[in-house]
Amino acid sequence: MTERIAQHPDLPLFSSPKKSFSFTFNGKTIEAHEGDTVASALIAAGVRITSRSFKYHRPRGPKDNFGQGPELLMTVDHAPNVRSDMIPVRAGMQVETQNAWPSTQLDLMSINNFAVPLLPNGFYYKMFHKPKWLWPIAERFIRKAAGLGKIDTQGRAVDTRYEKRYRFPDVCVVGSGPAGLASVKAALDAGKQVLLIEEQEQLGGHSRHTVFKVENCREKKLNGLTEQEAVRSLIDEIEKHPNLEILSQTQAFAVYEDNLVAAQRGTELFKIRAISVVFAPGATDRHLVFDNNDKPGIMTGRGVERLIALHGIKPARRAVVITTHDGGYHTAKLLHGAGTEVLAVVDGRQKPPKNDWVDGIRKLGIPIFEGKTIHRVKGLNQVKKVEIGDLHGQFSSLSFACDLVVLAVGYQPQLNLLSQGRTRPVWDKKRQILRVTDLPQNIYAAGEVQGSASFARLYQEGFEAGRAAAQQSSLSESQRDENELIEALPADIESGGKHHFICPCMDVTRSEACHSIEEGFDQVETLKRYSSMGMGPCQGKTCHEAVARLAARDTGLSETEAVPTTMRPPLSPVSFGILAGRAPHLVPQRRTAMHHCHRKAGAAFLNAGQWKRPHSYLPPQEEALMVRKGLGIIDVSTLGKLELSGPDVMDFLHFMLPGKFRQLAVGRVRYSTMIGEDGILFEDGTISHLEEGVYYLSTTTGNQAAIESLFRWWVLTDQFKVHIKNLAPVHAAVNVAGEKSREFIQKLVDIDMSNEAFPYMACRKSTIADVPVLLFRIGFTGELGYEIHFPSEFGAPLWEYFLEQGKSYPLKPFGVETQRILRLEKGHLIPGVDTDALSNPYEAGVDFTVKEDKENFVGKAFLKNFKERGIENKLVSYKLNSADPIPEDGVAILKNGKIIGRVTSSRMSPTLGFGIGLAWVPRDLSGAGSRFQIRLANGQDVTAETLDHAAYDPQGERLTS
Amino acid sequence: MTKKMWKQHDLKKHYDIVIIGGGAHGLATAYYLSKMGVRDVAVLEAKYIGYGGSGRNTAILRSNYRTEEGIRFYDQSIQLYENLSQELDFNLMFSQQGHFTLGHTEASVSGLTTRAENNKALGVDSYMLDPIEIKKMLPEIDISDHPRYPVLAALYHPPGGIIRHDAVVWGYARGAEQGGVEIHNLTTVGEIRTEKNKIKGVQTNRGFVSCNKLISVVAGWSSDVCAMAGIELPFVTHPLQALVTESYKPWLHHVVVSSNLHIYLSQTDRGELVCGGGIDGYPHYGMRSTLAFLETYAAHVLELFPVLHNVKVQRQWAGLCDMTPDYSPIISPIDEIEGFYVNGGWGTYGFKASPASGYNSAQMLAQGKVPANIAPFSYNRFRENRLVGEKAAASVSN
Ligand SMILES: Cc1cc2nc3c(=O)[nH]c(=O)nc-3n(C[C@H](O)[C@H](O)[C@H](O)COP(=O)(O)OP(=O)(O)OC[C@H]3O[C@@H](n4cnc5c(N)ncnc54)[C@H](O)[C@@H]3O)c2cc1C
Repeated sequence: MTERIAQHPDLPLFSSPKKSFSFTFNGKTIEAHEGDTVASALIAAGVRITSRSFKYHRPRGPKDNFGQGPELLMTVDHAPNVRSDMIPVRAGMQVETQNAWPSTQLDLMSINNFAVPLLPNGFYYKMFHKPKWLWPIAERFIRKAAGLGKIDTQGRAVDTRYEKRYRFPDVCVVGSGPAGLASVKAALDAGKQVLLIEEQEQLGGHSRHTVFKVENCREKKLNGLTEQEAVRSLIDEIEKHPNLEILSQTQAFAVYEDNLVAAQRGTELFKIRAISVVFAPGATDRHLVFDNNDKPGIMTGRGVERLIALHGIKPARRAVVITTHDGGYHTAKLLHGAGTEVLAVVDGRQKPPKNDWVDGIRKLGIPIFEGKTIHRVKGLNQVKKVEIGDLHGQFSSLSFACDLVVLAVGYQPQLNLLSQGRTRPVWDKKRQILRVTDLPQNIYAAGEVQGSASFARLYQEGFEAGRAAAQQSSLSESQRDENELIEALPADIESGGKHHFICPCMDVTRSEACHSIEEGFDQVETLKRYSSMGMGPCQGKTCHEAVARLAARDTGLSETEAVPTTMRPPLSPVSFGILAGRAPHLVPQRRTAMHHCHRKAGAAFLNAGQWKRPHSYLPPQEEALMVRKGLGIIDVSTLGKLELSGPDVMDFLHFMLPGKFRQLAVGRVRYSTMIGEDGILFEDGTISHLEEGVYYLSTTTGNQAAIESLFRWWVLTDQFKVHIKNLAPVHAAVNVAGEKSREFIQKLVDIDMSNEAFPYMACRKSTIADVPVLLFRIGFTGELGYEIHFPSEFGAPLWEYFLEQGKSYPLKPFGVETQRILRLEKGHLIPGVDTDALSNPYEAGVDFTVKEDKENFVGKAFLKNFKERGIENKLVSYKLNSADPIPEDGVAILKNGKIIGRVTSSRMSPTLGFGIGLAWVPRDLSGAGSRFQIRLANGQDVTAETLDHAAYDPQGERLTS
Repeated sequence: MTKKMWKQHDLKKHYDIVIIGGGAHGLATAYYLSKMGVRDVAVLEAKYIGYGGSGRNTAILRSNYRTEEGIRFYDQSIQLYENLSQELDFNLMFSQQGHFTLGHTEASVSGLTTRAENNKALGVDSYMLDPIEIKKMLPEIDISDHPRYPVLAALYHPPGGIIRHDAVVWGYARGAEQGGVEIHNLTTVGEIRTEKNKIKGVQTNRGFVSCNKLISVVAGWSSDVCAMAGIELPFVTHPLQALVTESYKPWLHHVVVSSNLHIYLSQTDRGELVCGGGIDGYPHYGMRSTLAFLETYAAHVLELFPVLHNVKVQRQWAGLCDMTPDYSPIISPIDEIEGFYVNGGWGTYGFKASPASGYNSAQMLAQGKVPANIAPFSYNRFRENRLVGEKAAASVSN
């Protein structure tokens, strides 16, 4: 049972927390202290097995307590895969272990521990595929066993509110250890706005639990203090600075192009654009491979120090410290002070230096073993015994019965952020670490990420980086003294035994890695993929150095050729919620100015691009008849509306559109298509000559944003002197359709609406109820009709006014679906619905909009080619027999079992009493009276007949009357 | 004793056939050549086998394309895949879990319906489902009208699924080596030599290699390699990004693609969700990841599956895609240079094609004739402006 300590002789700043509260762990109530993480509370409560490993279901326990490894992943309040060492525990929290059945203490899946090693290396590629039927069955079992936490499919917390935040400091500093704090100070001294990001709740980094004495520091007042006190003093000095913002409990998880730093805190995403960024993310204790190196009860030096100094936990009864540097003695001292019996310090150095730390341990009577290191640990579910011997694992000389083994064998820099797919770290022979030396512009690195060093050195390096960052100047090469270097032990202590875990996340041992290399996976990237080393929850943060060194060694490369696999963002996992922010609910829903009128009138709505549009108010078939027989009005405010003017406007129109417009007189309107550079029809609309040199282009709802940007792009690239005014947001629009529309509108305006004065395809300006309006005699429905555009602030009042004034006809609103029926009766195509990425204007039957004899225009070359080729398929109107069911949009047209075409739109025509539609058919079926077979989705065939023109009013008399 | 899957060879001065590119397509070509008895073959790979798209893709396989040319070709590929684990004696973990393409607009539902019908007519299993049926198979999907773009329907394709992509690369490589082909890693082709419009060989970092026939199978690098031969083809290389989440207990048992939201996801046998979207909108050879990709992906996936809000992204990466104007490949002899062949234009969708691409390329190389199934993919179609209709179906074409 672990105990809490009340005080600690070596930690002057330590005070034991006052308040305690409880939470549940696998249903049991557990006591926690203020300041605890979930993991520290569990450790204090004596929980030693916190998870089971991925493949072999071996017991795993707390190791580093710093969010690195997979051991402390738990389900917290139904949220899976939470790093329990990174989140503060709260009263009432429900914490559960994962991936063990029935429990982590007794996991029946641990049978894998014995069964799996009997299987060949890479067994999953070599088994279960013969005979063929076996695999689907095997896969079902594999899937049952796979995975860590369970996704909360009940979505108990889906209402969580996520936010995005933005920061624009001059200097962003990541990490608040001595180097980070010094950077902050230097940048503040230079008068800069500084943002400091720290993953932990408290600032100070590793110095928070370090009591080495500060010596020779450029900041004189720190000399003589312990590191703990020194960082406290620094924090006190800068904390309140008006130019500093501190984001604690915030993790910078990625650095993207142009040094965009992304960070996460709780449910927030921070996007940080700084002029310069200083990375001082520090280092973690080195991962060492030896037999049974994954047993619960093996912890890192800093992991243990954090438990003692930050959480007041006595981590074990009896401990052995394995080390290669003075840091191990520091840990031993803290352990001793916490009441743990330290049985031995095992130092890999042949001759540990003579200094206060080494001597101090000797004075306490703790035996020191020189030139030795760990060979293996023993114990079924946790450490019971440790054996030590020479550095190469040959001769085991001693063993100790203990419940804790501390590994303090050097540090591996936190390289992920510095590397992240840009720069591959290289092995620094002198410092015996992997390093990133080649950094992008305005990115600086300082501190332990460059190799461990004295406080004074870390401070100096941080200060220089902060100053360079403030000035955007270059930074001198980082230096280390001989006495700061820590020699690396062999990456694997080859002491025999089967369980040398290189990658604890994915349960990959040295022998598996060696077998993979023998099989031919002799490059570190393929080795990783085949063995799956580094592909687990920590993404190689623990094992990348060991993988690199051992891969080099086992493929016969020299130490300096050791390269890790690519490190990629994010540094630690980031949830979809954080990344999305409130975005799922922020995609704008656009409504027209008349939206509330439609709502009141009981309309059903549909999505048209970003817009909500009335689908219909009554059954669409009924509405369609109403328009044909009476008078209807539809809200068409969602159309794109661009006003084009300027000296080059005619050249621009001739260049962008396939038609000719020089003859288009003021007051006239023309239908136009739009053709891409590939000669493909992708849009249509009308172009109206409003006044001399001013043209008004209407486009479809869905394409309006794309068309505007396309136009602007061409204006810029080809230097047309054209002004583009997007009037879509400020103009509402309606279309009044029906035989009586002229008569109706004439009552509202004081211009002459007669056919002679205002013919088909003309436009006029006028006022209605004192509101300025643009009138266009056009329409999509096949009836006499007028489109009326007006300022959208009058949208609702004019809409109501029209309905009121038209009461006697009666004038009734109709929806988009109704309009689709009407236009189909009339045979009008909708680009993107009736056409696709292969439709050219000739085959789509709108070649009248193309004037190939123009000089140069978008799509000309391809159009010429299409024209020469001639019609192969054609978009035609068709009709069905009145008794036939209506095909689904999109179904196929077949001939002798072969697909020859496709229906694009298909509806029942209420006016005509039979099914009608548009379809792509081969040329030989495109003549009026041809018959073809449409295959419905249910397999039934119906016969359609090609029509010459529109099904309704083929001569267009109603439009022009 | 562990058996070596492939050996390191000395680079010979001459091979009958040289294949540039050690991705799934190059290796499959080599494998099928060796099966046809053509053994004097070398695969030259600049980095390591599977370095390119073949090691970076999200391994979604399906055959329910839109056009007859597409459906026939990809169906051949899926059929080869179905027996490939046994043939190569290597478990490729082909999980035929079924493939959804969701439609959120009427236009896309119409396009999906066309695909369903075209596939039915050619005997490929693919049909439409309504939201209620979708919900039965994907219980966590939000089919309410709450999302910005509600699910209206889906095209379902039972034989579609996912595969262990690296295993395909290794399986073909091992098969090719066993058949006598040589695979050369760390061998970069820097120059293509021709003489009198006939292929001579390639200059590599390990020396000059002459050959009778040369095929470029380099996907995202196709424009570069073709340019070495002075050939310009309409390949435009765009980055495509992907991400993988942490591992969770398998919960999603089908591939889900949303054509309008431009995202897709599936869950592997290890429990990670493998996710991706559309190509980056700009041509680029950099394989950089962006935050914008994560943000848009997350926003869209939560529209479909709100319960994933606390599921976490563990890694993101990018690869290159060689897009063609009609979203269809080029597998073709090049008339201008005797003995030069190109296999490319695999865009975002080429992994599923590896077997058929390799099989037909091998036939083309061995017999000097273009097999019927790949005839529509000649490069001359661009000269004649006769494009294949797959672009019509493409939004996210995984
Ligand atoms: C993120 C992403 C997701 C994808 N998802 C899917 C999916 O779900 N389903 C699907 O079907 N497809 C998918 N794809 C597409 C698929 O990955 C590719 O189409 C396919 O892998 C191409 O294979 P390949 O063998 O032709 O080329 P690659 O695998 O790219 O291989 C080309 C090789 O050529 C080498 N090379 C290049 N230049 C030279 C030279 N000069 N000398 C020597 N060697 C050279 C490269 O190093 C590389 O290894 C995806 C692609 C990406 C990037």
